[in-house]
Amino acid sequence: MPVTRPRDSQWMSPTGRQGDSCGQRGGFPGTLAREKGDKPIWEQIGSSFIQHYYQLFDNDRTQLGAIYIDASCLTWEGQQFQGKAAIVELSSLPFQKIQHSITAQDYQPTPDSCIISMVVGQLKADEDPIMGFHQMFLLKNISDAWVCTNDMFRLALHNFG
Amino acid sequence: SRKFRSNWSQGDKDTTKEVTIIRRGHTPARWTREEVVTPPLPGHAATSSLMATPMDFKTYVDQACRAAEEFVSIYYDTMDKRRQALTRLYLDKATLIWNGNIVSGLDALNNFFDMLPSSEFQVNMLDCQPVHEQATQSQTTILVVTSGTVKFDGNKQHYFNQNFLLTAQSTPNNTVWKIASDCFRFQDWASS
Repeated sequence: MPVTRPRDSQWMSPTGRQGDSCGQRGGFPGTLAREKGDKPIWEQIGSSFIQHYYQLFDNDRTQLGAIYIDASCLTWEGQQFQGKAAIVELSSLPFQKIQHSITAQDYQPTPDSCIISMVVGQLKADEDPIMGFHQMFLLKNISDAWVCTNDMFRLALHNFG
Repeated sequence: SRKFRSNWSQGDKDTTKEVTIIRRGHTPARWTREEVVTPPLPGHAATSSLMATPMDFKTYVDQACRAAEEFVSIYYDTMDKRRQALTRLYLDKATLIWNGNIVSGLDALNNFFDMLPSSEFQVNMLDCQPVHEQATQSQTTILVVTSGTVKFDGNKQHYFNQNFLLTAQSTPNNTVWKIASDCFRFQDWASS
């Protein structure tokens, strides 16, 4: 199959979902274009999980406990938590209302059938100004349920000294 | 313009050869093999039947993050200054998603990095976690997230986020790290 050489501008203009989790990616240079609706399984599982995660987070984050296991690692704005301590941390974050909006999400399978997900988006906590964030999840299937074993969250803050 | 090395496949993949062992506290003088090599991780390199005491998770996290920091430093330096050697840091079957575009396998990665304009990266933030052994049965794996700014030749500067799944091939003497999965996105592309 001939490899099409993409124009520079095509690589500099990201494809990927806009807005919330449902949506289709644009075409991929040099690869078979996917038919609409033909999403790989890791993308289907990943995007369902992510949608569920942010729904829980925005509505009642104390319920996030179910998606982590004892061995899960959470890094929240540089602080490291493990397992149940992660949930305590998330539940005690100092805002009442929070709303996440996903700008883009990417999913990849790993060699051992886990799913990595990278999410870029925006959030609004209470009456604070909207801020950007990015978050990375590693999902694993344990006893027929998908759980999050690794989670790293950062706000998009650009005041670097 | 950069020449594409057609014999890239002759680059070093033989981890049994003598490789530079990087000890903590020393800055490597030069990276002749363009690989990221660290001392063996505790509990993973021992072949003796006299196993050390069970590995402390905190120690493991610490070692993994040191490896991550070294890796990130090498990766972006190679990306900016020795682009033709960059794919040596990837596994043969590694996949990159670059601003939503899938690039899979070393051939595609070589084509991609050859085509990508020259870059100037600045990494401002790094997070890293080891992947607990429950999640990956046999290999040592770490997850790394970076963000910062990048300027590609002919394009305006962008904020970026990148994440890597790094996998270790451990021998008794050293650990060689390679990228299994890579995901890169501009953060601020709405304005480009």
